[in-house]
This record gives sequence, structure tokens and C-alpha cells, in this order.
Amino acid sequence: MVEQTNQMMNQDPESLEELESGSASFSALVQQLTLIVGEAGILFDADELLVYECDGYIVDKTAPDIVVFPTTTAQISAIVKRCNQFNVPFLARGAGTSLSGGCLPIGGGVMIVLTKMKNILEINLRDRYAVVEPGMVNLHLTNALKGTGYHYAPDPSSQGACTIGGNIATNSGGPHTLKYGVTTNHLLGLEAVLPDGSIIELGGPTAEVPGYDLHGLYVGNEGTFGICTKAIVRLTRDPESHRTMLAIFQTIGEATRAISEIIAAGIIPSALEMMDQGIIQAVEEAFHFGFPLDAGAVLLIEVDGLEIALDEEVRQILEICNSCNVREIQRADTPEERLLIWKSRKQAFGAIGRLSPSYCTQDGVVPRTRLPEILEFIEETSKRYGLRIVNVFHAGDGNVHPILLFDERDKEQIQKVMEASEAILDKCLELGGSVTGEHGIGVEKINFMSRIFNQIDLATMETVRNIFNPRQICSRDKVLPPHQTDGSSKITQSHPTRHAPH
Amino acid sequence: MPDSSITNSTLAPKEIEQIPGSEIPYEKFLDCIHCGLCTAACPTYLETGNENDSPRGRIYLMRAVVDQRIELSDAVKGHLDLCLDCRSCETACPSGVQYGRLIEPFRVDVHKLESSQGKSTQNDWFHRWILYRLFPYPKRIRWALLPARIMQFLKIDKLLEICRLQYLLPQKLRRMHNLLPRLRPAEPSSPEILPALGTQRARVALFTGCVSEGMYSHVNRATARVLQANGCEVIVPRTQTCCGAIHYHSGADREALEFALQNLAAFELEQIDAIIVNVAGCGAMLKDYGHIVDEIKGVPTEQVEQLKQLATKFRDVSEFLFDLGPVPPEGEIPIRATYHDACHLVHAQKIQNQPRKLLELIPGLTLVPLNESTICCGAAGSYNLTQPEMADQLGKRKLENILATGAEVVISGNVGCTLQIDSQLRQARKPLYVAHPMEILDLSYRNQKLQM
Amino acid sequence: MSSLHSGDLEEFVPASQIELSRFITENAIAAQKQIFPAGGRTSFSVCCPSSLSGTQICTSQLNKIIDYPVRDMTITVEAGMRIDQLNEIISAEGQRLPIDVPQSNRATLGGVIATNTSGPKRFSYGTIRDYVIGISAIDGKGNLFKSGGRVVKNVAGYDLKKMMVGSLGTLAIISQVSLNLRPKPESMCMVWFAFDSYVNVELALNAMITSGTRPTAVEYCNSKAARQIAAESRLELPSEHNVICISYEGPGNVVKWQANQIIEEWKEFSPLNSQIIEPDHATRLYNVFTEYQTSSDDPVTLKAVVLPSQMMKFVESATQLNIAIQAHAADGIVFGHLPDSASSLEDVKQILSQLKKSIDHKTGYLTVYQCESEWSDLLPLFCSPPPGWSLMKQLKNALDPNQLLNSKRFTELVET
Ligand SMILES: Cc1cc2nc3c(=O)[nH]c(=O)nc-3n(C[C@H](O)[C@H](O)[C@H](O)COP(=O)(O)OP(=O)(O)OC[C@H]3O[C@@H](n4cnc5c(N)ncnc54)[C@H](O)[C@@H]3O)c2cc1C
Ligand SMILES: Cc1cc2nc3c(=O)[nH]c(=O)nc-3n(C[C@H](O)[C@H](O)[C@H](O)COP(=O)(O)OP(=O)(O)OC[C@H]3O[C@@H](n4cnc5c(N)ncnc54)[C@H](O)[C@@H]3O)c2cc1C
Ligand code: SF4
Ligand code: SF4
Repeated sequence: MVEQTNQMMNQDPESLEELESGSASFSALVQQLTLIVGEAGILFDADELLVYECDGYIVDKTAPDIVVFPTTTAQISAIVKRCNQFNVPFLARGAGTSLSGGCLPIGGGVMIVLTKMKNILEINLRDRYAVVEPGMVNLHLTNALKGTGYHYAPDPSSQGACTIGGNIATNSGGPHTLKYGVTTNHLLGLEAVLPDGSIIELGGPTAEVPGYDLHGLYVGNEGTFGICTKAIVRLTRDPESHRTMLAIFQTIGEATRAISEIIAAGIIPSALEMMDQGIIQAVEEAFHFGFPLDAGAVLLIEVDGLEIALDEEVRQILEICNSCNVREIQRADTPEERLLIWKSRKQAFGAIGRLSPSYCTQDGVVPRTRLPEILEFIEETSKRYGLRIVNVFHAGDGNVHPILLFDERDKEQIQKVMEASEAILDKCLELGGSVTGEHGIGVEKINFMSRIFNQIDLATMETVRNIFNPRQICSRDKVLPPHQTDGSSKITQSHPTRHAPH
Repeated sequence: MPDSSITNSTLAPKEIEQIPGSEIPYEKFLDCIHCGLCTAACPTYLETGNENDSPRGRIYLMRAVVDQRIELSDAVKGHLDLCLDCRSCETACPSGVQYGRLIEPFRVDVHKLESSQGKSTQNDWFHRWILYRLFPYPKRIRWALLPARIMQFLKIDKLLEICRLQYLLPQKLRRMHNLLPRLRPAEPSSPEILPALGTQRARVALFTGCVSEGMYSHVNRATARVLQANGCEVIVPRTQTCCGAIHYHSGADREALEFALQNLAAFELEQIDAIIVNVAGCGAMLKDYGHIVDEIKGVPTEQVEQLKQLATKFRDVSEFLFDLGPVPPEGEIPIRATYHDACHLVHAQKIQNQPRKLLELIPGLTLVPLNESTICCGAAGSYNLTQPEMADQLGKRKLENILATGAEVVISGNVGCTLQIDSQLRQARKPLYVAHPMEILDLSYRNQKLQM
Repeated sequence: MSSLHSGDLEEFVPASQIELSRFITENAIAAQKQIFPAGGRTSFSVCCPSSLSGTQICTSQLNKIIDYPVRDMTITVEAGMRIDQLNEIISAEGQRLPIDVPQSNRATLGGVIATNTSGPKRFSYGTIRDYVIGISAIDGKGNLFKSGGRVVKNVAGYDLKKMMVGSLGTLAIISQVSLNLRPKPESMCMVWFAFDSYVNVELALNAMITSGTRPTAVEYCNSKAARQIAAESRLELPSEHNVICISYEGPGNVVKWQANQIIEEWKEFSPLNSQIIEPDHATRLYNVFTEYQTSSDDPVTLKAVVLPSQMMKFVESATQLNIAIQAHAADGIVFGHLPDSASSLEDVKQILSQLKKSIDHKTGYLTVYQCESEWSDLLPLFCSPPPGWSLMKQLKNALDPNQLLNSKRFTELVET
């Protein structure tokens, strides 16, 4: 059976054309695409394509041959049909904040950039949904909802820039995932142009639709199931109020125990972020918030909900923290104080920048209770490789983001960073976790797929992908490991440089 | 093509002068981690959706030019020229990238390179006469505006508009014509020293600026009165001059330096607590003197130190009053107003809350939030004249957001924004009034009503 | 409800997923018999039509706990585990799976996923798709595949878990499931409102979107259903009119505050009656609401999914046809028990076509939720093809190329 699936996938991306700039087919394709999107909607000068050679992941780089900016679904369908006709690969790009190289145009071809499709098509509060175009910036939707009492819940740390289409493709989460869930929990339906150019609708604005949950299957496809052209998303009621606390612990173990007990007490905080000693020291060095330098961990805890429920929740949280030997708790009672507490968390970025010329963030997940083990392992790894590694992450979900500090001009350190990252992710797997909680597999972690999944799992995923994208003409060589190593054309591998933490 | 090598050390020394940006410290490029968080904060990217018109893209382009991966082609230059230098990207950046310290020196280099090749934009009539000879001098501006004032008085300008005669003017002049607000009679110049009202709490100097003194002298007077009402003795040195921003931003760094030195001489630093600025654009430039002298070659160390010292003295008026602790104004001003964040206040100087807090002190005034209040209105110094299309798009965008608030008054702390927004409102025939925060505060302190 | 079927039916009771996988592989190579996954058989009659012949896969032995790291609040169990058994295990730790399942003493986890079962709480907690974090299943060729894992946040690989939700045993047999759990709430209460006009019901529901309270469920029933629900719950409740019943969960004082608050807020819609039902009674009433969708002896139960704003229009037409209606009102999900008078297939078809008219076919669906087993061959489960139907067919063919998994039902889903 496995052989059978293998055969299907062997009609491989090999057969796709590589465009040669200036060649006859290149000019013909440019001409055809210009007819669709107009002259202002296309780029094909090498100078202007350069910025599209990578996204938020900058280790691998290759530029597309052509970039188009469609404004309608019909244009996208026409573009995709031309690509099929010319047999060249294509892929979607939103804001290009992917941290796993989801927008890397392997094999060149046409990049379909959705930033001009950013309108809100409908907001329906009575039925609690909104219909938006895929290039809509996540935060812009929530801004547009201000004053209505509703918001769009998934809030990746990149929400000020990333697009809803990109969120759907990567099933994005954020600091509020613990309580509110990730993108897939908030997507009701979508419209997409399939890799053959046909237009389909999946799901819809109603609470459910009979049959297989294809829009659910679509979420997290990392751009390999065609181009999402419209999204119907669930709107969520705003919480009436917030309480924010900063709890300082002597050890990571105690902080983790506090997390588990808070949740066991029936409280689901809206955010539970942890900073370890390394990052506390870094933040302190840079900004002097007044954290004790010998503290093992700082927890940022936020609860939200009805005003009348919150004081009791806070009381319970304080009690639990005390029983876990908390050293000190700061409470924010006014919006200004709340901002100040969040500032210490958000300033972590800036602090890291001051410590080291380059850094690289990983995205492992472990069961919540295994946090002490993975953090201990990270510390050992740091010692073993002589690299400074600091941690600031979504503790409630067990989603760790170890940040490896190094100097990109030192080749030896680069090698060590690669090895240390791999060791940490392997450890996450060993502890029953995953190698990616939110950034996706992309091209970055493709080698891990065969460690997480067996042949049959991968073959089944391939079977499913082939229904949408049989020839891999749409975003080839992502998510699933390619079968033959064809020394994937034209990609410049550099090295990990600075890699956004959050 | 070389890969994105980390330094440009492979270049032969003589070539370096041919490469714009090659003297920018390379770490400043490395600060950009390519996360893209700045993209949606960038007005030009919001309009075009093209990564080349985004901060991340522009940094990538500049770095690629420095690394000699690409030439500074017309297309590349076009994307860089489209930048408003509004620094919205700096506010959004988690990594502390100093975008202004990349694009500004890069532009200076480009201008120099071009003038050495004899194709500088600085040599056209517009830059030579209007930007350089007129703008720095308030008197000349006032003088040049005289015909406009007379025309407005006689309503001839309306006639011109009706007959569409203004289309006979060169395009840039026509834009300037369209930008012109309903001019008020110039205020008599203020005395050099104005006493504090009540107990004296501070001694400050007032920076009066060129365009603002030329067109909005009433704002300068209002600012002085508000400072007085807050217990400040106000000194207005006659020998001060233009901040030099227009020159510096269009690559004329020598002229800019001269202005800076003249200002250095004008203010007696030991005797004042602060130099108050009420124009965001000037404030940002003045506070940057310290950085700028580092980028200009051959300035004597002593002058560098003095200019750095001078730079630390400048305060935006809202910032200063907020820190001082404002005396609550009492006159009621019953209006529905909205506040637009001038780029050079919010992004370049990180001043966002202070003006709002001051305005909220005014009895009767309702401050309605403005959507995208921190996105540039398209004024951006002389941008309005050099990139008309984008300036108009952004102006329209701002106009729509303003109209959506239902406010009667738009408040903003920058002359450029005031001109741009006012011109948009007039073109759309909307009767909203555009004011500086100090104008409204002054009315409240003096218990007077707003005449719209 | 009968789970006995005519036809030539064998039964296979696998002891492990490996054994099951082997069985299906051999069947695919050799016998190529029809395979019918069966859990608690609570909805078997409708999901697997009566004339079946082939092998029933009884999952009753696949009922072990694989891993329950209590403090991580996740659990991995085999798919044949009964919902009551699961609830008992996790309830002992103060945890729950917040999905309402009727006949939970019989229904299995696999069956719940395959039928995407949910109840009143779906308004606040979502459905089973939101709690499955990992899944293992065996496709028509016998391939045992998995997707997801055992951690709550994970984006490695395609989300095949979602594909299995609502697949009615036609794509693969679910063998093992990892779930994300939630803490049990401290207490709950319900508020029962009676309204004499549809207009006021609609106004009240519309006001719900900005209410100061955060209900966990908003149930509507017409008087015919209200009478049955009141009787079943053995509570004195006014049931001659339209009823909206709202539930709140959380700490005692918060629940109480919300109950009083909603009564205050809804005064302007002139309810005939409003009554707070205290915790002990409320649990009983809540269970009746959960069971009601499957509790009828009537010949046919329909399910309609419409936009909440369109719901009352549908309810009105259904009530005119003497159908007993219960609805998860804030989600626009309506269950209707047809009257006994609809005694022939013709009558049922007549009613179906009548009701379809009051549904906007672009944003609404009418499905047969339950029917007498002899009719299940003749009534399409989905009355019209859902969006993406052609892709669904391709998916079916790819995972079950020999059309062995409950295939007749699949082809009959939309075509009569
Ligand atoms: C500083 C920083 C913080 C981040 N924080 C988070 C976080 O908290 N949580 C999180 O989940 N992620 C986070 N990310 C990762 C990233 O922002 C998300 O994955 C985001 O959803 C990507 O959106 P985008 O619009 O930038 O997509 P892009 O980067 O443009 O694309 C990402 C992938 O989606 C595909 N794609 C984009 N649009 C479409 C479309 N319309 N149709 C089909 N495919 C499409 C692309 O082909 C690509 O494979 C962070 C990134 C950065 C740089
Ligand atoms: C159309 C429909 C009708 C319903 N009718 C009723 C009803 O009459 N009474 C009631 O109480 N509830 C009904 N429900 C709700 C729901 O079916 C049950 O509450 C329960 O969740 C089903 O569990 P079960 O174990 O009894 O499944 P079963 O009734 O045994 O099976 C239901 C369907 O799920 C499939 N299935 C079962 N286990 C697996 C597995 N491990 N892997 C793959 N597929 C599997 C079967 O093949 C069958 O198609 C209905 C739901 C739907 C969608
Ligand atoms: S936000 Fe800062 S670091 Fe990120 S891309 Fe923009 S400039 Fe670079
Ligand atoms: S300065 Fe303004 S216009 Fe220029 S890149 Fe930054 S945000 Fe964009």
C-alpha cells in the first residue's frame, strides 16, 4: 500500500519548468500575467525580486522569478491557470513573517503576494463572524472591531504585521492560546483557489457544515493546499476585565508547580508567560526593572473575565503562588501598571539585541509538567556548547522558545548553534512533545518529520496533500520531506543569523 | 552574485566612495532580524503592499547595495525615495533598529554621489529656489506669502481656482498653492523676554522655527502664553535660525551643520532649563543634532561635543509641560476633537500620551480616538512636494479616518501635518478646523472661545 | 433504538489497534468485505443503513487508558472507550471533557468523533474537534496512521485529526485519541424564560450578543418540546409558550450574579416568566436538554444548521408543522422531532421539502439526524451536497480506494 502511494507522489516536482529570466517562455508568462494584474501588479526585475528571497527565516534564500499582486479571487485563479499552462511552480506569501521558511520559492516560479487583498467583506455580530480577504493584517481586524465588544481571538506575537491568510496556513497561536485556542478553533470556512486554478468553498458561516471537516484539514497546510482567498472567522466576546501579576520564584520547578496548580484549581489564565534566569538578567542589565538577579523564574500571569469573578481568582492565584514558595508578587491594579508589567516581557527582545549580535529562536513543545526537565536540559546544552541560551516563552502551553545567542561572524559558533538546536528539539520529542508549537515545519524542520512520524503517517499525509496538490506545483518541498534529494535548485544556504524571538 | 556576506571588506577602497551607505556602521544593518513586524506600520507599504516599499525591504535593499549584491538602479532608488522618513517602523521594531540612522545617511550619500555625477535633484530650480532659499527664512516666507495673502483677501485665489488658472502654475508650485491654509495676519513679533505668570517654575527658551513663524506665528504666541501661564519665563532669542531639517534630509548636510552652529550660538545653555519646540519635525531634527554631527565628516571635536550638549536641551512643548505638571486650565471649550499623532512626535520623539493628557485637562473638550492615528498623513516635510502621488493617497487615507470620528476639530503638533490635513479638508469641502494643541490650551487658559 | 440489522453481518472485536490494522489489511487484499465501525451503536441505525452485509468492527475492547498525565490535563485513550467511563476517570481528578453526549453510557469516544456529537455547551466550549490533540486511525487499506501528538500545541504535519471529525466511519476507523481536558467548574445554574411571541424571543436572543453575562449555553424550545422537557426533568416550569433556557457555570457567586443580571437585562422583552433554577435541579434539567435531541420515539428527527439570525424563521415554519423543536439558539442548531402523524416515507419527504423552503440554501443545512432503520436507505442524511463535496469524494477514494468503509452510506449521504 505504501508503494501505491509512493507511485502517486512520484509525478514529482521534477517535471516542473525552471524559468530562465529573459527566455521566451519567461517573457510570454510575464506578458500573460501582466494582462491579468496590470503593470502595477507585477515585478520581474531581479533588483526588485531580491527582497522576496526570504521571509522571517533567513537561513535559506532563493528569489522567485516573478511576483504578482492580485486583487481578486478571479485574478488568482487566472494566475494559477497560467502557471499550470507554463508548468511553473507558484506559492502564496502574506506578510512574510514565517519563521520556518514557508515563503521560500523553491524552484523559483511565481510568487502570489496577497497584501493587496486586505478588505473586510462583512462583519456580522449577530451571527458572530467576519468575512475577510486573506491579506488582512490580523490586528487590523481586531482594530476594526473596537467598540463592538468583539475581537478576533488568535493573537500571534506578530499580529501587528502577519495576515489572516498566513495565520490559516500556519495555524497560528499566541500568548492567549491557553484560554482561547489557536486559529483552527476560530476559522469557520474559507474560499481557496486550488493548485489547478479551480475555486472552492469549504465550511461556511454556520456553526457547522455536514460532511468532512475540510476547512479544519486545510488549516495548517503551510501554503501547500492552494491559495486561500477568503476567510470566514469566528468573533469572540471581549473580556470585561483583566488582572495581571508578576510572580518571582526561586526555581523553575516551583514556578512550574504553580502553573499546574493554578490550572488544576479551575482557573485558566488568559496568559502565562515565563522568563528564566538568563533572560531576567538580560532584561535587568538593559532596563533595570528591579528584578532580583538570582531569581530562577518570573511568571507573568494574566486572568480575564467578568469583573466580579476576578478578585477571587487573583486571591486563589496568590495563595497558590505562596504555597509554591513565591519570593515576591507584583500586582497591576490599573491599566498603566498592567502596561508596565507587559513591558518587561516585551522589552525582552530589545534586551537580547544588546547582549549579542545574533540570535536564533527555537519553537519546541513539551507537556506542561516537563518544563523543568527541558529547561534543565537547555541549560546543560548551553554549558556543553559554551553558548548562552535564554528562555522567554508561553509556559501555559509548554511551548518553549529557547533563544541561542551567538556571533554570526564566527563559523564555529554557527555550527554549535545548529547542533544545540537540534539536541534541544530532539529532547522535546523524547519528553513526549513536538518540534514546533506555532512556527510550522516549512523548510526549516523538514528533516524532523521522519523522526516524529513513521512511513505510513507520512504516506497518509502525502495522500491527502495529493488530493489538493498532486504535482506539488503549489509551494513545493514544504512540510513533507522530499523523496529524492535533487540538491534543490538555486537555494543559497547561509547560516542562522538573528532570528526573531517573541 | 555574492551571498549576503557579512561585511563588505572585500571591496577595494577607491570603490567605497562610489557605494552609498558604505560608511554606515554595518552593525546597524545587522540589528534588523528580518522579522517583518514593522511592515504594517509603514504607510507606504500599507498603500502599495510591496515589500520593496516596506522598512524591512528598504533595509534589505540598502544592505544589498552596500554588499554590492545590486546596483542602485532607478527602481531601487524609487523605492528608497518613496520612504517618508516617518520612523513609524522604529516604533514597531522589537529589535531596536534605528531606521532613521540608516536611511538618512544613505540618502545623503546618494545625493552626494549624484551631484558628483551632475544629476543631483538639488540642482533643479525647485530645490535651489524654493526649498533652500525660501524655506529656511520666516521673513522670506512671509514676504513670499504676501501676494497669496492679498489674493486671499481679495478672493482672487478663489477666482483662480474657479477659472482653473492655477493649473498654469508649475506643478510643484500648484501643490504649494493647494497646501496654503487660509492665512491669518502675521502676529507682531514677540519681545525677547516674556515673564512667568504666578510663581516662576522654570526658565525656558522658545524655538520659533521658519515655516511656523512664517505661517503660524499665532501658534508660537500661543505656546509662549501657555508656558507663561505654567510659570515659565520665556526667552525668544532673535538670532536663532531654521533647524536645517529640510537641508539635511535632502542631502545638504553642510548647510544643515551651519544652521546647527548658528543655533548653538543663539541659545545660552547655562541659563535655561530647556529649549521648547512646538513643531514636531524641528524637534526631531534638533534632538538629533548629536547623531548627525557624528555622520558629517570633519567637524571639530569641540563643536561635536557642544552640539551634543545642545541637543539634550530640546523638549517638545507637550513633553515639557507634562513633566513639569501642568496648571489645569479652566476655560470651557465644548468641542469634539480628535488627535493625529505627528510622525516626528510619536515615532521620532516617542511622544504620544502627553499631548492627549494635556488636552483632556480642558473642561468640555471630548477627545475621540482616531483610527490609524500614528500613520503618516503624507506631509512628511517636503515629501508632499516631491512624491505627490503617495502624499495624496496618504492624505486621503487620513481624511477618511478623520471624517469617521465625527470630530469638529483635528489637533496635531506639527506644521506640516496641519498644512496637509487642512488642505485635504478644504479639497473635500469639509468645515473642520485644524489646530495645534497649544492653540486650544491657550484659549482655555485665557477663557476664550474657539472661532472656527 | 434498534441496533439489530438484517443482512449478512459478521462481527469482529479487535483487542488492539495492531490487530485491527492487520484485519483490515487482510480484508483489503482478499475478501474485500464491507466494514462497519461500530461504537455504542447509538446512532448506528442511521449512520450505517440497515441492509448492510459485511463485517462490523466492534470497538468495545479498544477501551484502555494509554496515558493520563493528570497535571498536564491531557489523556490518551483507545477510541472504543465509553464516554461515561472516560468521564468517570477524569472527573475523579476534577477534570472534564466539556462535550455534551447523549446516551453517554453507551456512546464511545470514536463514535462521538465520527458523528461530531455536541450539545448545549458547544456555544462556549466548542465541539470535539477543539479537544482532539492527537489521533490514530486505520484507513480502508489497513494503514494505521497518526496525526498530532500528546501536547496541546503542535503544528507538525497536516491536521488529519480534523478530517476524521464527522467522517461517520467512512474514511478510517479511529483507534486511539489524545484529548485536551478542562477543569470542572465549581457550580452551575440555569434561568428559564417563557415568552409569548416569536418577536420577543428574537429580540432577546439579539440582545444576548451584548449581554453583560457570559452564558455557557443558550437553549430554545417551542412549547411542544418545552412540555416534554419540563415533564422529563420533573420540575414545575411554565411550558405553554416559547422557552429560552440559559445556563451559567463558574464560582457560585458569579453564577448567581449572572442569573440575576440576565433577568434584569431581559425585562424589556417582557417575558411571561423568568425563573432561576438552582444548582441541584439545574444539573437534572441540563441533562434533559442534552438527551432531548435523541430521546424521542418519533419516527424521524431532523437537524438544521442555520445562522442564528435566521433561526426563528425556521422555527416558526417547523412549529406550524407540529414539530417539537429544541435549538442551541446562539449557534443556530435546531433539532426537530417530527410528529407521529408523519407515518409514511412520503409524509417525511413532504415535510423535508416544506422545511427546506425556510432555509437559505447558501447558509443553511437540513439533515436527517435519526430515523427508523428501514428508512435510512431511502433518506439522504444530508439533504443537499455540502460545500467541498467533490473534494470529499476524492478524499474518500484516496483513503478507501476499494470502497470498503461504510461506503454505501457515503454514496447515499446526498443522493437519494
Ligand atoms: C516576531 C515574530 C513573532 C511571531 N510570533 C508568532 C506567534 O506568537 N505565534 C505563531 O503562531 N506564529 C508566530 N510567528 C510566525 C508567523 O508570524 C506566523 O506564522 C504568521 O501566521 C505568518 O503570517 P504571514 O502573513 O506573515 O505569512 P507568510 O509568512 O507570508 O506565510 C507563511 C506561510 O503561509 C503561506 N500563506 C500565506 N498566505 C497564504 C494564503 N493566503 N493562502 C495560502 N497560503 C498562504 C505561505 O505560503 C507560507 O507557507 C511570529 C513571527 C515573528 C517574526
Ligand atoms: C446523523 C446522526 C444521527 C445521530 N443519531 C443519534 C441517535 O439516534 N441517538 C443518539 O443517542 N445519538 C445520535 N447521534 C449522536 C451520536 O451519534 C451519539 O451520541 C454518539 O456520539 C455516537 O457514538 P456511538 O459510539 O454510539 O457511535 P455508533 O452509533 O456506534 O456509530 C456512529 C457512527 O460512527 C462511526 N464510528 C463509531 N465508532 C467509530 C470509530 N472508532 N472509528 C470510526 N468511525 C466510528 C460508525 O461507523 C457510525 O457511522 C447522532 C449523530 C449524528 C451525526
Ligand atoms: S521590525 Fe525591525 S528587525 Fe524586524 S524587520 Fe523591521 S526593522 Fe528589521
Ligand atoms: S520611515 Fe516611514 S515610510 Fe520610511 S520605511 Fe519607515 S515607516 Fe516606512
